[in-house]
Amino acid sequence: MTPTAPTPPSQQPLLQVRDLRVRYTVNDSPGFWPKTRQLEAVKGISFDLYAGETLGIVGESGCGKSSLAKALMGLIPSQSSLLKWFDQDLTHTPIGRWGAVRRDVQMVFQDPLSSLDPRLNVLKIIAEPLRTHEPGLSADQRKAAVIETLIKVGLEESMLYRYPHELSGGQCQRIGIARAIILRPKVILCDEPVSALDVSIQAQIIQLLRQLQREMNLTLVFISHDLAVVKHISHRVMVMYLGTMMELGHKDTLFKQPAHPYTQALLDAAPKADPRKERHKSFSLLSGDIPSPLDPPAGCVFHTRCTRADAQCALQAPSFKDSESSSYACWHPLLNT
Amino acid sequence: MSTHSSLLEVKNLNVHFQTPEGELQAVRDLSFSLRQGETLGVVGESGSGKSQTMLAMMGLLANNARAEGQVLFKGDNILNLPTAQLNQVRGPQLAMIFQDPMTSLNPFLTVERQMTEVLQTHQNASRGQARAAALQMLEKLRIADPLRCLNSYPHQFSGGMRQRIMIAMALLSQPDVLIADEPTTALDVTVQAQIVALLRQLQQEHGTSIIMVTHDLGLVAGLSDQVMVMYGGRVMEHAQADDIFYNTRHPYTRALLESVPRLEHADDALLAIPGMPPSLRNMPVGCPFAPRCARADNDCQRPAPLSLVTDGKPGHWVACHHTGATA
Repeated sequence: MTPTAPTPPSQQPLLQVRDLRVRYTVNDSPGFWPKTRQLEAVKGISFDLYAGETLGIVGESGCGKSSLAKALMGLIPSQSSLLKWFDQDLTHTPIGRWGAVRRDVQMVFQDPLSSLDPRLNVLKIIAEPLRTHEPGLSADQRKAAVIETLIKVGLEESMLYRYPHELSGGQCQRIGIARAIILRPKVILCDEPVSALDVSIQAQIIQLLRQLQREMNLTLVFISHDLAVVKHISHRVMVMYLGTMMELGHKDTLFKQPAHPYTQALLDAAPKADPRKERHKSFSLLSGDIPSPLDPPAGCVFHTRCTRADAQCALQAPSFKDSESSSYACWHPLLNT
Repeated sequence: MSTHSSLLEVKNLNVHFQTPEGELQAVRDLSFSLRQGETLGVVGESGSGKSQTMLAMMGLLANNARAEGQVLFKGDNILNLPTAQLNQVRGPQLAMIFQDPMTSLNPFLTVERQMTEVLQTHQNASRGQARAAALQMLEKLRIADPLRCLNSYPHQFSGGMRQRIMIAMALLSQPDVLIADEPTTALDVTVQAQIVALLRQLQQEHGTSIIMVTHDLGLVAGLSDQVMVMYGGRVMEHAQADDIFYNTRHPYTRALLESVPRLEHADDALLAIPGMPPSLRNMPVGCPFAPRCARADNDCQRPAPLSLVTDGKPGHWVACHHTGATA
């Protein structure tokens, strides 16, 4: 069941993003008088998304991966030199006028319970997108569509009139997925869809997403802080750090031969179910915390925690190098090790 | 499986809850022992009873709960002790890191006030001494700008930072036993690795015994001497860490190992466990894992007693009717 990578270079991408930036205005004053500052959560990300693929996005919390997803959905305003969904240039379109794109791009959220309205029953939750985008449907038609979708995500019709608090985390997440697929979208952005779930349920949801991808020819953007989860579902993986793209490559190369020291550090930190190896693991690779995004380091944003950093890294940010299999932004990549 | 020099020994612990729908049993007949400097990993999904076991030991169960059995700490039974006496033990000698860093800190108090409380209460430290100790502990946990941290309120921190403050708080009194209930669940892998390293270092320096409660078998792999796998309020398998991972006997342990995505596994090796963990309200009469187990048969309609693996290493306990071969 290994996913095959459907990315022939001739194919027209579903999504083209160039130099995407997300800025928040924050109050940085400890005193009474507010002093606003700009926090740049996403700093110039460029990539293409192809039909049928799964793009995994990994990074530590605060690296801007959720901001990126929200900006792609048009949930928060962003600036870019190009943002094109399905041949529609939205670079200068205000997010209120994205129109039909919203229908084709849906989202699954991290916390399965709090992303469902506690006052609506399952039928109303899943039917809500239909009410907005297909107001012509009768109540019976809507209900039939909801039941069909429920079955597709592995739930039963008897769930229809239950409320979110009566359901387990895994069931809530399945309903979140049902709500995302009922409009038959082309792309689903999954923001940490399994991190709040029990381990035995996690695998079920990952398999469900894979199965839906095959059946409905979905394109997935899968955000997670868990490298292993991303490895199991993605074709290509993007590694982010402090709002910057560190490495982007095919899963096989990225996990077997990472070019960026940060990718390597993430791989080393992931726990492995092998006590003999784990006991002798050295934790010297990545020390310290992710710097504050309000005050990012000059030069390469990772140089304060990088083992290979030198004077050049502190002075100048490396540009993003595109090579055949993998692309990275680093002055001292780990290519020959 | 009791050992002569155990620091903490739990014998036949049962936890019941009185609810409007009747009595529910969250923990069934649980026993283990922990020596000084040893680490026990307790692994299980939500509802397996692992957190209730820890709360029972700390005397922190909800009002409608009742704990039976024995919890021997340095030879004294501390289960159901009056609060005043229990307070001599929990905190200074038996400390706990709670699961949820968002709700376990008091939002109205500064970090300093919360951290130093244990020292001021139990060791009669002055405010200045306590503050200095807190500062030192925060530095040890590599928290940037510890002075500012002390004067801040919990809402000003990220989840990872709050969890580190919780850990610093528990370590301040240098406890003999540290119970860590899912201490790294909300954290990034890099921070998680740092915290595991920190716990290990602490153990080497002070000889602290650690009980590590988690749902991630990978997390306990490097840290634990012994591992206990729980499901539906019962112990399913309990053995030395190596035996749990390399000589797995219980189908549930095997399923747990296979259902967690791992970097070292091939992509198609992910096997989901069908169904859901049982709820306490309708616990199966027999083996709790039977409804989800591929090897279940008629024998599994009655509970399997926890017994020693006959051809295994000493101290390898498993509760399964089908332990003849490796699971």
